[in-house]
Amino acid sequence: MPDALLQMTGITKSFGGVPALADGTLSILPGEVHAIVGQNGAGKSTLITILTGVYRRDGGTVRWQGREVDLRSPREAQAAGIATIYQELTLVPQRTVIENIVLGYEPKTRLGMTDWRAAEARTRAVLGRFGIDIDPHRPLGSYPTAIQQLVAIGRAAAMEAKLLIMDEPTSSLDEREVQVLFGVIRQLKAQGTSILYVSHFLDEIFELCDGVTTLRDGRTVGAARIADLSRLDLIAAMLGRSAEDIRSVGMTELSGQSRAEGGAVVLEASGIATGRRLRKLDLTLRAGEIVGLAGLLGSGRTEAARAIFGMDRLTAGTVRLADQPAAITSPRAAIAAGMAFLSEDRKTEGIIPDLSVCENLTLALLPRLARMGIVDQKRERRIVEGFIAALGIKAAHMDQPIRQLSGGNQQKVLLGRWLAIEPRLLILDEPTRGVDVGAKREIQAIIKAKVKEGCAVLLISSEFEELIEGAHDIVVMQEGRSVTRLSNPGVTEDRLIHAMAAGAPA
Amino acid sequence: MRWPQGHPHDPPPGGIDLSVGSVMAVAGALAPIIFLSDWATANPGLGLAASIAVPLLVAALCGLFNGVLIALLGVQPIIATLIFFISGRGIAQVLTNGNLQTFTNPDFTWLGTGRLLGLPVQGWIALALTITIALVVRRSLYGRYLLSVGGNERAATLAGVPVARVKITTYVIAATLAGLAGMIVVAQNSASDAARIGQLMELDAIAAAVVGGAALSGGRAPIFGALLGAVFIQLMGYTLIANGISDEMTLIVTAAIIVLAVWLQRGARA
Repeated sequence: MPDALLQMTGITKSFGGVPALADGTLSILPGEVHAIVGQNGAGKSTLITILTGVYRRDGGTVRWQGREVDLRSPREAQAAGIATIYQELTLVPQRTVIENIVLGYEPKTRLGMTDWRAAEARTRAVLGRFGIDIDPHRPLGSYPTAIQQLVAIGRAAAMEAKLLIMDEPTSSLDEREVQVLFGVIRQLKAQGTSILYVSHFLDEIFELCDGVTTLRDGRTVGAARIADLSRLDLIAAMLGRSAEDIRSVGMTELSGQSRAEGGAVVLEASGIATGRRLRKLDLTLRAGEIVGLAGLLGSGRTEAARAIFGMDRLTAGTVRLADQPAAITSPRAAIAAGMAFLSEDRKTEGIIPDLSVCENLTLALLPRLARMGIVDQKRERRIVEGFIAALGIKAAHMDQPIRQLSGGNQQKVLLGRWLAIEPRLLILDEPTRGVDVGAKREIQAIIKAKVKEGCAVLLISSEFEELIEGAHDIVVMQEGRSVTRLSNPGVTEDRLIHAMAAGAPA
Repeated sequence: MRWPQGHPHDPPPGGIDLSVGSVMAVAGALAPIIFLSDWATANPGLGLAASIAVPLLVAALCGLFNGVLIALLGVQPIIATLIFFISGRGIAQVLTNGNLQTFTNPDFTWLGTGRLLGLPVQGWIALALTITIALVVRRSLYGRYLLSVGGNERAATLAGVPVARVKITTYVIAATLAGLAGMIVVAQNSASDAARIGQLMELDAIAAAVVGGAALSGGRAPIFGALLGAVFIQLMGYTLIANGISDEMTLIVTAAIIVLAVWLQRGARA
């Protein structure tokens, strides 16, 4: 066994007396792709931010290349050879690809000016190595996210990082782009670079990684070779349950539902279009029914939800909501008509970071809580207390700013925001993305209960399991059009994939 | 939060209002013109009421103009309010022909120099407005909407918050309060000098808000913090001057305090 490149042992860290990390241990070998998994709040981010020098640890030791080190700032970590590719890209979109690659590490001429020729050569070398064929003189922002991400990785490679940390790198990539990214990662690995890979997508971890460290409740509870593990073992370790337990209840909480027969039609969209991304969608939704919306990334699923919710103007077709003659032209009107829409983008379209859990949860309900413009705070707090208990939201108290909560708990608060208005139609866009396994099951259970009460749900999901087990019917989209509607029971993963790819039921 | 002369103004959601000083000048110039007019001397009661109401209304219209430009036409706040920052003082000077207007009108000057129960009237006004605004921000639908728009406009839109209406309301309130502040300055001096009223006040206001802990990116509105910030900056200025330290030095010390406040907040946010 070669010596570890990185060995973090017994790391502890508390924030304001609350321990975030009680015993974090992480060992990465040279040239391996190492995954770190755990539920939200397990301490993954804390461990990584300590490694990258953003936070200082309270206790424990960090050995880097065999020497004990103390990385006191991101710059020190970078100088030591630890580079991070963040979920949100941190490059400068207005500047060229070349400028971004060399930013902060510009090659200099003898006169101390930036040597643009050397910079271009370095850029071309890096891009060429990864097989990315783009014009490096164009602004970075003119390329899709996937390319920008590869440029960020190229930048780290140009800096000759020994350890590359990637935080959910595939969350905004499509399947083909993911494969390009994986190719680049394998190439880096072949050159001896180690990669710390953070992802909620277990498929990716099993496809790509060599080793995995599992965290739970601030402690490292396991470290293993991927080859020695099954998916179920890994999920069980993250949840702290036995594999048997999970096998008996199915993989998602949405399974085993019976359809409420003959529910009234709640929504009828016919031939709606909003532009290039949404060309023609037909959709009928009944009370007590979950209809899934499936399709590859870019097939127009999110655009369909936005059109129905009144965010984008219709260029063709009609959306009819039961007992609601007027066209819906704004989210405000949609909410008044009994619709709710949980966006896939929690950060930019969901939370108000500085407002409290309570204020975030009641935002959509607020007009109904106010009399003469004054918010009835007693009633508000009572309602919020109810939701915190019912949804199992873990917060110190309801006045805590929502930004301090873990991703899964933020998502539950946002779900609560929409359940609070007691919608007739609940549109959920990737409701469990970026959420840990435990919270995911809880969220699915909440959705199931809501449907039982007669709510209609439009479920957009990239996870086949969630769609196949959860939805009564699945509408498949392709290039902005609804192409087929599959009915459960009887939908299999093969049929669904076939429909998404070819547009015809298998 | 805007605090010209220690009077509270609302935080435009994540925006900045450069027009505060100029709107003060317009309102401040307008008030004496009205109560010095022949009509007002003939009807002193009505005249006084009009000399308070009309400038406030004009100030509110300035705010409406800012708000519409920003909320409906999508102009950046700093650009939109720059229009009045530049033109407002010009308008005020045209109104007064560029002259210093002096007057004696005890009823009007009471606003600036009068006392109630031993405390200056303007102190009572500041106190009343602080409490009102704190209550509005914490308790009212509008206040909650304001913070949500400042904190994350897209999320607020999706949650059904009437974003444009909230923004316009906010700029109207800010401008109306600036108008009130302008009139108080005029009342204090028994004179209106269109070129000087509220000069650089917008920057003092921003400084007070920052020292008080407001986030210029929006979404946080510590009302009492801003009051303390304003009182602190003013007190420090007077103390330094009273101790024979020059005006110029006072400015430098004020700047240093802002730097310190921003630095302390960075620590608190991390």
